[in-house]
Amino acid sequence: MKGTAKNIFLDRIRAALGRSPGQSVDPLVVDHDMVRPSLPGSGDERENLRALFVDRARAVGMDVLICPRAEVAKVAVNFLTEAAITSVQISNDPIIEQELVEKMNESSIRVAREGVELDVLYQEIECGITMAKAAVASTGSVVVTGSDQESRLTSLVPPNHLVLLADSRIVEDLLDLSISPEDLPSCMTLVTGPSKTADIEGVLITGVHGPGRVQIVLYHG
Amino acid sequence: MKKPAAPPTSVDGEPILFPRGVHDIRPRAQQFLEDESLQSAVREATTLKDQARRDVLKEAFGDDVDQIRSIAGEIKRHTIDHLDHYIETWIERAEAAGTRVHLASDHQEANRIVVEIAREKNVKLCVKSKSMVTEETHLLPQLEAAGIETVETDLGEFIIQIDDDAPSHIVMPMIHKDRKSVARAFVRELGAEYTEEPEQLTRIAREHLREKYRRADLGISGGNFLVAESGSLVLCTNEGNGRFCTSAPPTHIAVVGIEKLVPAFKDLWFLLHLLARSATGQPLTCYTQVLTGPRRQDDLDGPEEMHVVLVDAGRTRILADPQFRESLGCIRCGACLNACPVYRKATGHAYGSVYSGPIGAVITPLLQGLDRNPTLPEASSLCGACYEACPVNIDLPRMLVALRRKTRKRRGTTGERMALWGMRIAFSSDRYYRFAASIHRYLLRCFSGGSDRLRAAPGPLSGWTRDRDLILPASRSFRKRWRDRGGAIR
Repeated sequence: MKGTAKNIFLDRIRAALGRSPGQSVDPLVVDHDMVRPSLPGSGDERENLRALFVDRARAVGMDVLICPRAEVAKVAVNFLTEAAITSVQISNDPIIEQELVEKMNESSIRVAREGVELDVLYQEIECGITMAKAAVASTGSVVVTGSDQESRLTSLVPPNHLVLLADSRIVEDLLDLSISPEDLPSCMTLVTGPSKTADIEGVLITGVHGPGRVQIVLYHG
Repeated sequence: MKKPAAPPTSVDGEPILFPRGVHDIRPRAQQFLEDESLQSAVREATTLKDQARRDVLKEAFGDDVDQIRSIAGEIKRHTIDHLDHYIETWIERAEAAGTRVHLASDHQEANRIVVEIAREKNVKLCVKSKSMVTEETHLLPQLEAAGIETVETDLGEFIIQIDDDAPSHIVMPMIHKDRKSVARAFVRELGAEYTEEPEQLTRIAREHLREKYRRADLGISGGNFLVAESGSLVLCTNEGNGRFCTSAPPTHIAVVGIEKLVPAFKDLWFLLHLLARSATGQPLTCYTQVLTGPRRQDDLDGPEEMHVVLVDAGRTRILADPQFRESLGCIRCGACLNACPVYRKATGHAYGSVYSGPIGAVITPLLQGLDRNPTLPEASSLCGACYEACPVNIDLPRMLVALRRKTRKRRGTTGERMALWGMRIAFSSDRYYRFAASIHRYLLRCFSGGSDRLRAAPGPLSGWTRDRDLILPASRSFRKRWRDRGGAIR
């Protein structure tokens, strides 16, 4: 953008506010922690956090399966076979690539890697499998990204989204998401439920454009 | 798809949104009041959403709701008061992330920028997710005129587009339409088989739009927030169409009002806790996207170019007036519409603007000129429900009164002036007040004809009793009863 155009634009705003270029900003002092939820239960904090997340994620319409780390592949592939899913697209992640793929092959589920033809992605793939970068207990959200490991479309185009979540990645609130402004991926998405609409006479319908079903496999240990 | 030659019109023959010349809300409201199915649809939807908002806020924040609303208001007001600083920071960070930032002073410039980018990229098909600002600027006809097929992809907006209609609520755009009209439009415009099942209708739209996402070479979106500290654009959506529009096509353009800034992520999170809860009763919308620049070198997908058009279009004028500046803090949740007894009866199209309800009655005159919308500030009973519902604590009633004051150039009729003169005297001293009150009580009794309420007031006052009764005051005044009970009176 040309510097002069920007200056004219900003000068008009400054004139409206009665401010001058480079004038300092009074700090904004408010108590952001007011929006924090109160955690249920007592005792082990991680345990409570997990309970809250599961509760909230289910409340917004996502399914959660919980298992030990060693059983991730078994639980995930069980879900796929029970849902009669025969073709998936996977993001580039060691757990998915090394453990899930093997199991899926055994169950003769067709596996497509990132970078598959769009025709295939739109018409054939029934489920996208990605890793959650984080999860938020208070809102029941999982965080997925568009990056060099996973495409934006894997968790969007297929009618099902299977997301693997390590229990250690759950934070209590949005305020606890560790975000460094310099290191953000180009696309970060908080997923809080399956795709929804209530546009026609307020009737709730899932799976409008995005996945109608979101299955979380939450593992610990 | 059939293209409307002219914008859809309302009962008064003017375009539904932004009528030419001076707009009067009354004749339209009068018409809509007589439409029973419209009345019941809007009443039901707004009552449900209003109740959902109260319930979830109470559940999430207990007795702290009002304090949280007031902090949210402080965050937005602080940002608006230092908007130059935060916009400058945002531009710097956004450009560092590879976003191309454009500045538009008015509607024409905003549209021109978008059309130019589209032409430069040789765009044939554009998919668009919901954006209020582009409704304000009338972007769609401009794109169509440039030969670019443009498809609204939000289900409600898509239906409205193919049925030559206009949105009537900020969050529930087709609150005024029923499933039958959708069914007919799908048969007529998409060649679909007739069905009234919302589930089936949604599937039809889904299949139709998926084809568009794949072929589109441009995606246009709005923006809910701009985060200064990272130069990010934040989009809150439920259906997933917003994700498609910002992920699938090679170019993404976001058209965003300059008031959408927030300083930092902690402020964003704070406001997000309120936005969806106030709008639909959800903790967050299904998808909250934080977009920071186009796809990176090693990214697997995403648009090669990301453009953000920052639109002023009257906003600095509002900024310059301290009386109305806080209206720019609005986060477009629609809670004030749902809470407003006037919106529920008049319904969205009566306001003649993409911004309806109490917030529309304030910002439409401010953005477009009070002279073109002189009756909008009257569209409120000043009951204060909007103020109570607002998640960022905007004092809408105060601004509605301030706008009304501006339209009152005339001094009133002789009768009105005499009445006010009389009241001024009556309220000027204790004795006059007691005297006036006793006359008042006496006259009301005379006109009530022995009943306990006044059913028909005489002369010019009859307008007041046309639609309601006035309950009479007690036969003895409070002061008298107080004295009889031995209470002291100063």
